[in-house]
Amino acid sequence: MKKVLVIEDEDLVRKSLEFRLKKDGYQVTPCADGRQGIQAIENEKFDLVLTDLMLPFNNGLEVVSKLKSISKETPIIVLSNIGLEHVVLDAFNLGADDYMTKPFSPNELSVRVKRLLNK
Amino acid sequence: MIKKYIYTVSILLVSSKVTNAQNQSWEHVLDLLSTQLNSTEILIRVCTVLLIIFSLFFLGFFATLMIARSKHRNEDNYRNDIKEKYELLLTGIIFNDEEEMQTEEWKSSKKRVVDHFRKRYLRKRINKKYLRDHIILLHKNFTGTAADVLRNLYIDLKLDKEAIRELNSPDWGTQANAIKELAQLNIVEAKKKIKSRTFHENQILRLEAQVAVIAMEDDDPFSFLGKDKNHLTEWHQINLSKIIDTINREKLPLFSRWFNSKNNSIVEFCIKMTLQYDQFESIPNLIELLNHKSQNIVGEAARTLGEFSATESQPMLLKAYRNAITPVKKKILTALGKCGTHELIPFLQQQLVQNEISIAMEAGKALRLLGDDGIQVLKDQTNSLLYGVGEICKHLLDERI
Repeated sequence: MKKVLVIEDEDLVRKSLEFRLKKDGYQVTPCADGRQGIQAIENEKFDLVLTDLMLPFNNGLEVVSKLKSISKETPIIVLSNIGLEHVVLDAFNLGADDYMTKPFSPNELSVRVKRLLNK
Repeated sequence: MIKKYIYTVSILLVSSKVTNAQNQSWEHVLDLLSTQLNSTEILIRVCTVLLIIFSLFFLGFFATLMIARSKHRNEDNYRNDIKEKYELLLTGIIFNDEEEMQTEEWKSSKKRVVDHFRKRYLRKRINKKYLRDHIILLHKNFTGTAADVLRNLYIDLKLDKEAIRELNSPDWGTQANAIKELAQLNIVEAKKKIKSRTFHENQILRLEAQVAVIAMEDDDPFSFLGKDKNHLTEWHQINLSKIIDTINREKLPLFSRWFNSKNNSIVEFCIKMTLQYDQFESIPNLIELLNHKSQNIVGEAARTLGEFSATESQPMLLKAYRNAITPVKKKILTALGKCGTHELIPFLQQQLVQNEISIAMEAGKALRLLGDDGIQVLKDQTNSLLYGVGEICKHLLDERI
């Protein structure tokens, strides 16, 4: 079973994502902030990371940067309310594999996760 | 008793020996002593009463604190319990496959769940409020089928009625939140009530209502711009433009429709929107605004004409320049640089060599925008003896800047 790390500070959204990804057949590890997320990345190997951008303690860009310094091949999807060009470019320049602006379709997310895991 | 006896005897002995005058002074001392004794007693009594009052007050306060704490804890536990139930309901309903959701089996089981939920967990108003908050939060984050399912659930559970009822609340904050919620879920039934609040005296409520109307209304959503007599603050304008940015461009009106509004802040806002959405057909109306009494409006119109490169506005810009205040003059010069022709070079050169540095700088920038001929003027002036002109020209010609 593929392992997915979900880092999202909004409780209900995190649980919803967890529910959806579990339904899709993945093993999900939820984290509520950037610090927890980075700790999880350091302690465990994941097949995919899904992170929000605006997170407490360490933001999503720091998570992307940390993940890529540890494991370049692990794909990462960034979720954010911010659709500004420079923010999206920053995320991609740091190594994000995909970027989704909130609100997003959970079905679309599901397809994107599947596509990245099958690469 | 013995002490009292000795005391009485000694008093009598003493009193028998002393003179009348001495007797009087003793009485005076005893009077004083008894008065003091009485006042001390009163003081002790007062202190005792105060002590009792404070003790009672402290006990009461402590008891209230403990009751409040326990109530708060119970509420927290209840909220967490109910939250879990809501999470289960919401995640269970919204993340089903579309195909699965079309089946009769799914529809009937959903109905059963919703009915059970309504009877069991939605009796209290506070519970309904929690669920509404949860639905709104998820609706803000998700689109597509999940968002549709959330909206349907909201209506099935009759939560829209609760929000509509809150529109009648005397508290403007409650009303504003209800408007936000109803707009988020596009509850068309509430449109009329929301529209009536677009002129409310409370600025935040008015703003929320206007934002909601823009998002929900298909038939002339911007009609409030023609009637609103209140000043649109920068914050208000930012919020309106943010929501305008999310709606279909085809729904956008020509904002020049409100250029003749008596409310100057609305005219300014409409000029900004004209520029934002490239409404070039409004150029003649923008040129007319160069005659406006408000200098802010003249400045905004000039800026927009410059951005539109509206060459035909050149004569009117020059006319407006004569009577303009310095900040507006600077805007007009910038506009002339963007939409002007070579015929302007003598005029801009004249502005460059005049005394006011800020205006000279804008004139220099405008000359630079006009291309080779303008740049030649700047080069010719680099050795000017006039105060600041040479420096401005050198600065503008510096390729590093």
